[in-house]
Amino acid sequence: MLRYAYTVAISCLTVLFTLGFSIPNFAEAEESVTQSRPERPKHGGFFRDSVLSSVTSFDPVKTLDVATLRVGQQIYQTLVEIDEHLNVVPLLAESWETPDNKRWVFRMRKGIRFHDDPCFPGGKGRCVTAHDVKYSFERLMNPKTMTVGSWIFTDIVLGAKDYFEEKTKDIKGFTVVDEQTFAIDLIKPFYPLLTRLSLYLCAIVPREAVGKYNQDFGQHPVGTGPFVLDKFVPDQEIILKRNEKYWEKDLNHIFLPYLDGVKIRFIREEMLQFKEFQAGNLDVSDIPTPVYPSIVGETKELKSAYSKYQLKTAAALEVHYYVLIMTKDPLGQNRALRQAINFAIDKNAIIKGILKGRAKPASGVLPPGLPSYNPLLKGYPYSLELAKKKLDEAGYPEGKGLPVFTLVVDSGTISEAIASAIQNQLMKAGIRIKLETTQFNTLIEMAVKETAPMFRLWFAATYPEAELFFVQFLSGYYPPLGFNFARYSNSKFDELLENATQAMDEQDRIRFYREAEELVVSDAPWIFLYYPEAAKILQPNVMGYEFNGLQLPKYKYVWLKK
Amino acid sequence: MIKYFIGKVLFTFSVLIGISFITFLLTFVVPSDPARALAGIQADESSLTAIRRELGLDKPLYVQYLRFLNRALQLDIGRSYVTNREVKSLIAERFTVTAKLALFAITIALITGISLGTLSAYLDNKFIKHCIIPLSVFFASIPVFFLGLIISLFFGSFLKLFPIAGYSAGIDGITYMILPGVTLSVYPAALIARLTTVNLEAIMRSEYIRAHFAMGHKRLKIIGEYALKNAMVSILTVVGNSMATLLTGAFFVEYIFSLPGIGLLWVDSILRYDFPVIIGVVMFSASVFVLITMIVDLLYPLFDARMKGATVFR
Repeated sequence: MLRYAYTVAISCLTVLFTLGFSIPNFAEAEESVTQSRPERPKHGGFFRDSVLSSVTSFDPVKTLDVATLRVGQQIYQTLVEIDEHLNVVPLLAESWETPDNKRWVFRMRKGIRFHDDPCFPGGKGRCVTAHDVKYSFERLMNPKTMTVGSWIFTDIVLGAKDYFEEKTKDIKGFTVVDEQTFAIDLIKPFYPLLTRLSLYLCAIVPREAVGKYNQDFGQHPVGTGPFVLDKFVPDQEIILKRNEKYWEKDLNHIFLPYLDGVKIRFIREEMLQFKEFQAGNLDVSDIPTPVYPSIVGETKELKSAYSKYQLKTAAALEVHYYVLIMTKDPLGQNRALRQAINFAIDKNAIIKGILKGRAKPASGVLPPGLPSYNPLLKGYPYSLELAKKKLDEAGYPEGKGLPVFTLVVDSGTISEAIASAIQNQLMKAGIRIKLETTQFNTLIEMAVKETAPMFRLWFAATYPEAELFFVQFLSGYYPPLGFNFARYSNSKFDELLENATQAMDEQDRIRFYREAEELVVSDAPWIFLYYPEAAKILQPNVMGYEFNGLQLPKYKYVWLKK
Repeated sequence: MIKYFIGKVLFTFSVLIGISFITFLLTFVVPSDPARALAGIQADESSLTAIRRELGLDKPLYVQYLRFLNRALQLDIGRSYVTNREVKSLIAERFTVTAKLALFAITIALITGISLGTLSAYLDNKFIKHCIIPLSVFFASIPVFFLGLIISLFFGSFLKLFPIAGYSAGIDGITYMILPGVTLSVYPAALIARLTTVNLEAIMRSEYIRAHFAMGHKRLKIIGEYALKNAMVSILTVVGNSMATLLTGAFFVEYIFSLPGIGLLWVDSILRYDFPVIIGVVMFSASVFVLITMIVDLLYPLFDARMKGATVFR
């Protein structure tokens, strides 16, 4: 009895002590209490997830779609990976060094094996070496593979461009120093190389599997990841099984992954996915926008009817905007006009009314979540008064003399509703817009061919680096050479971006990126709309589900509470 | 009979050539670039050029078409631009799902439709007849996507009897087929019920049926052995047409219930500019349509002795 009282007293004191230091932040308090009594992860069970679009081909060099990435990253691995807090951490490489930001030397982990597969002698997966890295990267740069990721190395790695243009037989910049050491030589210093290497496109594949499965390699993935592909019925079901020989351990020295496997179903509609989750047939689901306010409260907690579930939210590394083509008059030559349009749009009203609060107004290009995001950047807050003033400055008082602009958006309920709201808002400032809707790929074609002065786009990062967002404003990147759809050109901006990508010091990089962003925002080649918020809802027994702005799950950390 | 087959095969062949030509032209007329759809917006021109070269899209249109025809004659309709899988295996996989769904739906439709029609003829009750006909018109008029949503909400979400989305090829897959199957069966069931009711009513008034009554045969036996057989000719036409439509165009139901059938494959391939799959599915659907019409033609004589000597079989 005394012992019991003693335990209770100690527990109470512990809780009081903990609370005493963290009352201003209840989340922290909760976290520290949880940390003091961590529950040890348990092995076993199948996690049930779903994808909303088709998983196409697991061949890393051909993969761009999110559904395939989400599954493929469980099977294949890269030299480095992005952790929950969006930092680059070692994966197949255990360390790296770069004396001058131009030569990068990666030391590989020893003893990591490819999955067992009939492509290897005796069906036993062999150890990964630096030769595999060279082979995989050269494969990514081989035009015959129909690669979609040659941009990763083309302009930065020594000899990559010549190899892609089939002028050389190998890439000078890729060197196998020894079995466990791989070096990359760059044309010029380029710090974002490291984050680029975390892309699924840069996954390490065994040449034996490519040789054996040839055209069907995309359906027979052989990687080093925590899961192996057990069953793949396109657009029906994917079953991943635990890789029994996986090398990674958690902080308690327990081998990952915890799960026996993952079952992934193909469910085309977000609402259906959510209903299946509610019926208990899925362990995780997106939250459809129309029902979001009835599930999530304003302070981002689950409402009482859903409180048994868990909520994960993150600022998506994504920006939504309308491109204004700078080579077309009157928008192209008139900065004040572009600024007027930006001021005339009430982003908060759109976010509240159409997006049900699941976004933040975009003040610039970089979304929150990226280290270079500038919280002090004002952008263009809604002001009809300022919009009218800018219109005067532009030479179109109250919009008189302005043509009717055509705005092309992709077909979809939200996209069309936003366009319609913007049409009405701009009308108040005297700017008239004609709406056209089309399918996304056609919209891109129109953007390439400059057949519309304004069109909707969004950009979601696949690696957390500001450079990826800013490439869209580089002078030399006009379509078809690149994807500077706005045809923005500013030598000062180009210089700042160059400085940022070459800077070794993070603070310097952030400073350059922020200056570059200020320039773009001031020139307004886009209508900056919003940064979406990502959210997932989980069953109560799901633990270890990491969630960040990239929205790519890592099943290796997930475990199921009994 | 042989002439009939040869005629049909030649007809099918010319239809397929025509369809392939038109589809090929259409896919190239639309403002699209499959290479960009594959490579994403980040791709530069040299990557796009390389992809176009690998896919053969850099060749003139007539060369591409002739290459396609050459391959198609060897029963090779190419590989998907997106998945790099053989189009014929993609179609075979998806057709299995659609065929299961269509067979399930048509079976429900036949059982429900014929039972209701027969019941109406057996009871010979004006009230029932007057109910079946307007009800069948009502059910036949409900758009399938609306019906699908109602059925999925009620039986899936509210009563939680069946899964509302997805598909599994195993035994448990049957549960995934129930709601879409029922949704898809409503329209043909309504048509069959109405047709059976109307046809049986007319047949039951005919002289040979009256003769059977005069001979003292029971009503159920007369309907089952004589009347229904004659009514089957027109029902067969409806079933044939419905089956062909279900096999090639169950898109809405596949979409609502996330069933990976041929309809969804086609729509996805259009959205991704996956030309080999688009052309493959169109040609396959046309073949299925012609094949089913042929089967229906062959089945007529089983139900109507007068058709055994019909011109088409000579």
